[in-house]
Amino acid sequence: MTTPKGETSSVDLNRFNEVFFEECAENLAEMEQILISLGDREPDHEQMNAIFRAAHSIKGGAGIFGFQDMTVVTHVMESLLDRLRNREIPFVPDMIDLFLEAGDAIAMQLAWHREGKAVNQEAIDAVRAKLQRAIDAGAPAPELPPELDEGATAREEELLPRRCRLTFTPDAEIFARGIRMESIISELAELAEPGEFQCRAQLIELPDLAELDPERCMTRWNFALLTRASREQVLDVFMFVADEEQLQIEDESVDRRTPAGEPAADPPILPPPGRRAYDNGETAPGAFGRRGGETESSIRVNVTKVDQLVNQIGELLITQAMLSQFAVGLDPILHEALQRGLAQLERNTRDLQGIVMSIRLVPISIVFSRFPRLVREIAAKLGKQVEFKTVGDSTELDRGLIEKIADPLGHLVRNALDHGLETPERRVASGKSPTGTLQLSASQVGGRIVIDVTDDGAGLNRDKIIAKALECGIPCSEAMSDEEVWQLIFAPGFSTASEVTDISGRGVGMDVVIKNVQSIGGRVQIASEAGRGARFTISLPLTLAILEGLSVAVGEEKFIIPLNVVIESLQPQPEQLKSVNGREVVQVRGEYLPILKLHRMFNLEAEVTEPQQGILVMVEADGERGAILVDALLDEQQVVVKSIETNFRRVEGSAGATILGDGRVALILDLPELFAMHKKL
Amino acid sequence: MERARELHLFLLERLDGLPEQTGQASIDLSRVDDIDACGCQLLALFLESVKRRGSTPVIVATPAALSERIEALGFRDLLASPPEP
Repeated sequence: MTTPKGETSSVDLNRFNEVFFEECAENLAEMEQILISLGDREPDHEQMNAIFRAAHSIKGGAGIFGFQDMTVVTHVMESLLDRLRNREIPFVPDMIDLFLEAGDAIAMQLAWHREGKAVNQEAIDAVRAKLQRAIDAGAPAPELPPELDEGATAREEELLPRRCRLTFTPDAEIFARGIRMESIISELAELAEPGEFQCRAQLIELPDLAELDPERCMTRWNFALLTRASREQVLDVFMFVADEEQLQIEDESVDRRTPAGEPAADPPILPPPGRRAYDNGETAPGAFGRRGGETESSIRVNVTKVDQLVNQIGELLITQAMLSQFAVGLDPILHEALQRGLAQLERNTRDLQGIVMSIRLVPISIVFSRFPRLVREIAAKLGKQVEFKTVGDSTELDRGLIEKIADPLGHLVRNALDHGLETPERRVASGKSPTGTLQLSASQVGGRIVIDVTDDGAGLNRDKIIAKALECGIPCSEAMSDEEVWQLIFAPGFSTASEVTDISGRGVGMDVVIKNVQSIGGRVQIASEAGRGARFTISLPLTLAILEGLSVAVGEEKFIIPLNVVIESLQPQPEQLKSVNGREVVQVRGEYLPILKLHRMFNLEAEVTEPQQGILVMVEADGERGAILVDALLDEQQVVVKSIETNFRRVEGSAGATILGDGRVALILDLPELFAMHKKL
Repeated sequence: MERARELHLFLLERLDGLPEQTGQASIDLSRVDDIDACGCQLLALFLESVKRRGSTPVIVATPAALSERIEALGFRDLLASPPEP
């Protein structure tokens, strides 16, 4: 019966905690979104309620699930919000930053519980103290004459206490889920007027003691309270634990103006059935802090399950490709029905693949939504005026890519703010508006996602870049095209910033950008016009699980070259083949490219060993170019990426493997590794 | 909740050892430090089983803090001893 710490439960509670973590993250995101949208304005009544509701929900959930540390900051924050909401203290713009800081502290605690990330307790204590100081320092708001305070009557109505009767019949699993009823009851009791709270448990089943499951809940709770809290606040107490049908609420206003004996007004209408209690009214316009209406027809699914599904679709694609390959040799007249069936299977498999891949797609707004705050803070630090815009927030891309694109985008945004956009004075001097514009836009172009980071700042300075590149020992020349010069900024160690700031300018940013983007099969292009601004364009594949590849033959083996690294292919003429420092190179339009011989690198028996007998595939990755010698080009195809390390062992020069239609395994080439191997040969 | 199964087995043993129609059966809570809703429910169901056997369960020596917890969880009526005859 006692619950000593350290004793392990027979039930895996992680599954249930995860629901709280996700809800908490959503609440934090919603809260931040509202705060950022405010600028320095005072939140209106609805926005204030939404922020309050988010903080309150986090606190309630944390208490119920036993994360007491997370209730500390939320509790003080809630108190401050409550006093602001009731106009007991005046709003000051600095409070926006304070609430953002508080949100960060809660997010840090969440990350600790969720992922075991370290917590800076000092920062948390500091935020808590700041919130408390804001409460203590708040002078009472001046009293308005009744005729000026239009909201007074409405608030007076809200504050009238009412008798509320609540019956909670939890689901049988509530104990097994680790829900602490004491937290729920005590939170509900806090909403009651002093001495006006009753709680009574009632057994709804009386099974034989020998047959019962002791962890199964067979209790119903009846509550009676006199409260000034809204129905929504009462229902919020049960946010993480109750479905609509598990709660019955009846309340009546205790109207002080109604003489005793006169009938009271009609009781409020009960919430509509069929929804989770806490989702009440979530579809109301502007109802921040609630999930969107679409959740009514959606379910949460663990990402691992989706990955398993994607993996199985990959297997199915391979099987289908194998069957098609076998059928190639069959007589089409004798096996017409079989051929028809296989064609149908191929269509169905492709459709299924499209649907399953779309499950992993999430809107890029998940990443974009991080930037308004970043821009606000950095612009303030740099003394710049910036209008931040996002376009195409609903563009969807693979969840795996979303996680990997956030950092590169962050670097580009920071660079645009630090180096691209000018100070208001400089902008005015050059005939521009003092406020600069920074825009993030996303769209789907063909089979790729294109993300643009555009600013209307000074643009890239060609001369400065070349001078800096020479200084850093990066090979370059005045004859280079603009596009080639812009690419120099991606070289490791390159930075034109005269001062190293904490925003950018350490020279470690842009090469990381290109590496991260390329690691997910992406490319970065730059367009810039002096005095008019710059545009960085990131182009990404739609997914990481399936890639467009060029299959090539080397002896008996087949390899897949990712299509995004292929420039062109050619059959070299003898005069194009040269030797530089003992290494074979091919001269293409004045440029000497090293020849990478796959048969040597992978130790294979090959029919073609000399470049003039085979085909050279020109490739480019990480700013390095080369020519891969192959026997033949076979096909362009979509291949399902499989981890070779999981199934066999790591093979240098390969980024994974795929299973071809004939059932054979083909390595997917990793170009940067191949270049490195070539240098060692 | 963590010890619900253990407590269940313990109470089953006690119930099995209880003779039929014995009049009063005392349940001593003096060594119970704390209780949660799951524990309260189990105890209430145990009392019901004792009653079905024809005995009158009487809870004794409840520490003050435990009483408060039982009250807060709403189990005061279910875990109350019947009034003295």
